[in-house]
Amino acid sequence: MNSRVGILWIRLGRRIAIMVVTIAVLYGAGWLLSPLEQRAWQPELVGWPTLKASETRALTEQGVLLGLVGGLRALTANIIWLQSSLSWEEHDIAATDRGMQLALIVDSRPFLNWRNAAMIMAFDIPHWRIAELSATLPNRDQLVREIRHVQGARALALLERGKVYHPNNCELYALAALIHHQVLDDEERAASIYGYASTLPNAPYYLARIRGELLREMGKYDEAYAWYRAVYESLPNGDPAAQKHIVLQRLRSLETVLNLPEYKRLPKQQGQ
Amino acid sequence: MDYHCSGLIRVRTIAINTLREAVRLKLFYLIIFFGCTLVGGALLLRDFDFGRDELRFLTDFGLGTILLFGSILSIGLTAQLFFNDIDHRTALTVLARPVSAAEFLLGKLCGIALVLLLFLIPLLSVLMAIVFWREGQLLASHPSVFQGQPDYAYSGLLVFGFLQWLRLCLLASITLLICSFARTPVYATIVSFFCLTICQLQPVARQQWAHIESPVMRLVTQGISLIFPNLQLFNIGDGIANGVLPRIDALAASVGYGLAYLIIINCLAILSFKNREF
Repeated sequence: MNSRVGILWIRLGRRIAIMVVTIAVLYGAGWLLSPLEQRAWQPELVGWPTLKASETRALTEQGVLLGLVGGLRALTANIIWLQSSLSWEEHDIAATDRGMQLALIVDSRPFLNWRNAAMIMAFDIPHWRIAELSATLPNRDQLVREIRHVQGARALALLERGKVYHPNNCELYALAALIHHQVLDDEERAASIYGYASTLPNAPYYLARIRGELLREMGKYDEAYAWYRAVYESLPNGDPAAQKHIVLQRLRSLETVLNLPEYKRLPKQQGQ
Repeated sequence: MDYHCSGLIRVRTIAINTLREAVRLKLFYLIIFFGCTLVGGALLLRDFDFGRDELRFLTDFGLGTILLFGSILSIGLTAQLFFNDIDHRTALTVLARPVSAAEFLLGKLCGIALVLLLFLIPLLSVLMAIVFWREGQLLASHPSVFQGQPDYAYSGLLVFGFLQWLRLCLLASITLLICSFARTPVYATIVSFFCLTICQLQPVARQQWAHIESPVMRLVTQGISLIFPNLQLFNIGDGIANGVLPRIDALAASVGYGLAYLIIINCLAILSFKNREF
């Protein structure tokens, strides 16, 4: 009887010893191979999102984990986006917001998702929230302003995250400028971002013109004139999208407003 | 010298036998069939794509399918083949001959590696064929977008295929390690899937180190993340879908990392299997 118990103890001891050795060897291997792992790790190829603690919890939602583990991230994110679009149709603020954020965590690559999510946050959600406010509220105007500012700030924070994945995308910058202008009423900052966006690769010509108009609206005629002069000189001649004649018209109008002497004005151009 | 040569012959014999057993299983054909159907089915799921171009979506979906079905095959097949030999007493008969536990497990792993290769070839071929076909169609209908030249990096798919094969072999060796001490295939399969999840989510664990306030918990998390290999290293599908190829040095490091773990985990599986009581 005693010998049987002894054998059982020996077997158990051997099992535990093997388990301990296995864990120790794997731990040592992990430690030794970590420099190799760091060299092999290419986040730009793996497309792994940088997650905050709160976002990690979101990954435990049903189906999301399968998407990440199985690699079907694009489809999982698209289905979540589709669900959030259904919530958007019903003006369900919480579900729309949650769905968009989740879709962007699962798959941060599609640029359109960043742009659309920021637009919904900055323009649609405040509209829904304001519509729910009673018209008789004494401090309604202040509440409206607060809602727009809070949502605008959230949209800008989202765009900042999007810029990590799409650093040179002029559309994200243009949208940030639009939010500063129309939601946060910060024309100064909007003009500055439009100016930067117009220098990015593949930026449309109209971004530079919007900055010029904003400067004019703010009464900064000198700055607007200098900006338009620089833009005019950089615009190509044969491209109709450049709308060079419109820039010239605005230059002439600013010259009149500023009452510039002849020698400071842009010389007469061809076709004038 | 003769002993080593005959050892290699024994490993080869067991590997061929494992391959033969695997291709007789319905599971193998089912997974290939469903995998190919799903890769091809990506064409029908294009309506679910918002914001990415079509070829990227097809690639992403196809590579995701390969990853998912490959993992299921690698774990399921390894557990089933291993326990078939145990349950039918084939392992006992083989080990009673001059075949060591190491040769037996190496033979099994080589056989499973061949099966995984047989799984990857048709799926990657279907994916390449679909992408090639759609690229041709898009090139004809929207020549200005492609500037008249196809720009898809097919070599990236081959690199992905190779890295996936390595990853699936590593997963099979993890399953073999678990099988070496497990008593039932169900237990081995479930534990292997848990290990797969942990290995795939390694980057999350590493990102969370910094956020853990308790030093004890931080040490535990760090320990767990060091014990399990980071399988996310081999998932370069995102880059491939965007036409970005891995750097040579990073690729070499990934291969080295995979091979090192393959050797270490196999040695541990052999040690555990040697001490197994039948």
